[in-house]
Amino acid sequence: MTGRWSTVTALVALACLALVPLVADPFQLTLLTRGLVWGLLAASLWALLRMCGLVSFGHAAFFGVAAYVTGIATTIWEVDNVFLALALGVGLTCAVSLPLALVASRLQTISFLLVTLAFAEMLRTLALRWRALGGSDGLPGVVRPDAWPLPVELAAPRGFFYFTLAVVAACLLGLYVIARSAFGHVLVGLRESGTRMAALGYHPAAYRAAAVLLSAGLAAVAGVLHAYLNRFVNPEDLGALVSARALLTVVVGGVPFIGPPLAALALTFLEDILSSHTDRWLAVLGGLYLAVSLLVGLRRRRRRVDPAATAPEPAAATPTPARQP
Amino acid sequence: MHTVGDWLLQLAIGTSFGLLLFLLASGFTLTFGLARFVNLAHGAVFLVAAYVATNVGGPGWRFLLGVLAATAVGLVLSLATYGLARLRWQRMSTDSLRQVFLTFGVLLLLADLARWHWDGLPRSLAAPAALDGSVSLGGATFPGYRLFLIGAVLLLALGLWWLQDRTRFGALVRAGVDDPQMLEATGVRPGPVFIGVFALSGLLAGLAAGLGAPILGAAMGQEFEVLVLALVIVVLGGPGSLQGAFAASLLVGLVDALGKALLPAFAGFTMMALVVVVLAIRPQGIAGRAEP
Amino acid sequence: MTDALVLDRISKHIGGVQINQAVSVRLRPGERRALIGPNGAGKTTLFHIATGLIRPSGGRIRLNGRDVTRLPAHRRARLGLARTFQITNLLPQLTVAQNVAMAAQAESRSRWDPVRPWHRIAALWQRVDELLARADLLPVRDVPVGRLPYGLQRRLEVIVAAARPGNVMLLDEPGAGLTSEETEELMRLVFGLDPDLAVMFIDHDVALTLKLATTVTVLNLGRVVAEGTPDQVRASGVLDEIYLGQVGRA
Repeated sequence: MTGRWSTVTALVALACLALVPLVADPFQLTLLTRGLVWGLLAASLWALLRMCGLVSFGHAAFFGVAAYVTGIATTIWEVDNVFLALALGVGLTCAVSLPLALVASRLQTISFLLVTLAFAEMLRTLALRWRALGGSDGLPGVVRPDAWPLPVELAAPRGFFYFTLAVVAACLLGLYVIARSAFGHVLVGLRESGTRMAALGYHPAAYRAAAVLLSAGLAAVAGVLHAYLNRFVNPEDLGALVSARALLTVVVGGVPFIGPPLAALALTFLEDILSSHTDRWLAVLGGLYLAVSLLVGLRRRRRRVDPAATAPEPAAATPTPARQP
Repeated sequence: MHTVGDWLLQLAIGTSFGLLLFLLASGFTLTFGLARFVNLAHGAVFLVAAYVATNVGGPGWRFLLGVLAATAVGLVLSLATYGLARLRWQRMSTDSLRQVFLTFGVLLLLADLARWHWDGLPRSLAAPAALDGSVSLGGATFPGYRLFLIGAVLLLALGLWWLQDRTRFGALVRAGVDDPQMLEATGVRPGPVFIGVFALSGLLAGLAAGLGAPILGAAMGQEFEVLVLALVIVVLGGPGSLQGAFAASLLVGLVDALGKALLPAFAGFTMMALVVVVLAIRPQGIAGRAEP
Repeated sequence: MTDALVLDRISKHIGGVQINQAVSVRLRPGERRALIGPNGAGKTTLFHIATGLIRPSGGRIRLNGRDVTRLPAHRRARLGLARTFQITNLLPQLTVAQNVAMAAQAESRSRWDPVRPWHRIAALWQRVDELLARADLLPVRDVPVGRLPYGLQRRLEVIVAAARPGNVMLLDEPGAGLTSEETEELMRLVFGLDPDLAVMFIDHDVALTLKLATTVTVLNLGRVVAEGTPDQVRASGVLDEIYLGQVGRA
């Protein structure tokens, strides 16, 4: 565990971020807020990876569903409070994710990756075709709510930035608390040896499903913030690019807990610069993924993600039981 | 959907689409089952091949040219992806996350190059006149090309089955899918077998794009649409199994067609429901290996 | 008194190979039954079937009177069945104490608690330390299991299984890689834990098992070829037959 060093970095980062509004203009501040939101999404993905060794290529599904719920809540149901929106977003996203969580918890690592990708893309196609959700135009007009009982003005870039910073920090803290709890340790145990844990009476699929839901909830929080940040929701929020971006930042992030969010911040700025300089930024992005796959170490992640080691099938932990009478 | 004829038509549409997907999915499941390689670039290979088919292809005999060109392009692009992966094969072969990044990057790259070269506009290709008529069977009218497609792909599927079950190459692939270490232990160098499998999968993708061009055309977005369906087929069919992929392809094709015919707005839901239901009953897929 | 564990005509074949054939075993509370036989006799497979890792091709399994044939491994564990593994199967990144705690809390609701820091649950760690003291593992309490010497790992493997509430224990070659003396010490530790514990264990040291066990089941080529007290089995001469005249380490 990186313990002390991590805590210091986190606090320093938090302090720096808190001071940024004093020097940044509204545009930069909005960009930074966007980075924080992506950071939270990255953290949710990282959490799932750390808890279960599962790589999801479909976190955009949780993210986008929550964003759409927010959009609908604001434009149709006239929800005006950010905490209510968060509750609705997280609640409905988790409800919708339950079948996926239950099914996915019994899949092998790669199948899980493929199924999550497929799901997110199917949801995106659904959003594209569903007239009531605005189709390919999406849902505009997602006005910033009020933050009662907090005295924060969310309509202003500065207010929204501080709110986002607080929420993201709270979520990361929550993850840290869970990691140290009994539940968190059970998840570590399941990652180490599914057969041993089963032999002790733990139901592997139930815990895995809980972990997926937890991760989905965090991604949903990011989705709600995203909808309010852009004041706009569209089908691309469910797309593979969103999932891939989160995955990239998790891999490149390195340091636990705060690594992925910081990497996400960096990537946000990079993408912004890129898209303003060339029309072919998708190709460049593709090249970036390619480069990362060939050049980056992916050391620690690799140990966690190696399918042979983390596949949740009983035969994996005890070598060839059937051949050794 | 009022008459038997309507249902039969949807059956034909679903079957022909499903079989096209089978060509695509079989390539994916082979590389996945044998080389343990997740090849997301497959979707973009299809896209580029489709564009090539619609560009090169034309009326009469030029149609065949279009199909051949698409097949060739598929072959080349797939081998190129393998080539890239081989740059870091040691790490790449065991790390599925790395594979995901590599092939996703190739996907984005190829798709954007296609967007650039062809201005992001959809293209179509008319079916050759000889195959384009309509056929009346059992009180319904079927588009002739779809029937041709069903026949052609069934023949190809038979060819694949023959390849898998009756040739040395097929035996090597099956052995490798069952137990990669065993394959190495028998002294066979995996390299050439892998090249063969990647080549085959690219060929099949290109063929699917070419043959499917009169129905699907070429359009931006296909790289994700077909990729998703191929993934669903692979997971439902059981990774590495051609028989499973075949069964799953038909299932997916039919669900897709019936979903669009019966509940047009919710076609996406029916597919997701299918995946959830099948995986809930059999997490390892239709033909996947169950726990001992 | 109900039988603790009943294996009723268990068969298992994979492909064309018959691994177990109509194997029946009756384990009573307090019994210490040895399962012996040459390599390939089907002993570990039988254990995997009994604990739920593998599905039998035929036969039934009853745990404390209840039919558990269709139940998955974790359900059987919760009904009182504990096991150790032939190849050490612990949680390498966690410490010795944490491994035991994982077993000890398996029935308690606190294992789902996502908020309270794990190390603050005092009652749990008290019990853990008690068990560690009995097994003389307190000195290595905070060592990550991955770094523990092999002999201590085998001892921990047993203690982890024993830390779970339960009345049936299956030990798969607990003495694998240990000397006869170490194995005997380990077995006496297990037996000393609870007189009502029903124990079945596999070991290749025939002389030792005959010395420690109260009853013996002998397997050969997937079938039961002899059963009874150690004296009865020794007298029947079946061991000489199947081990081809060698008595002692097979």
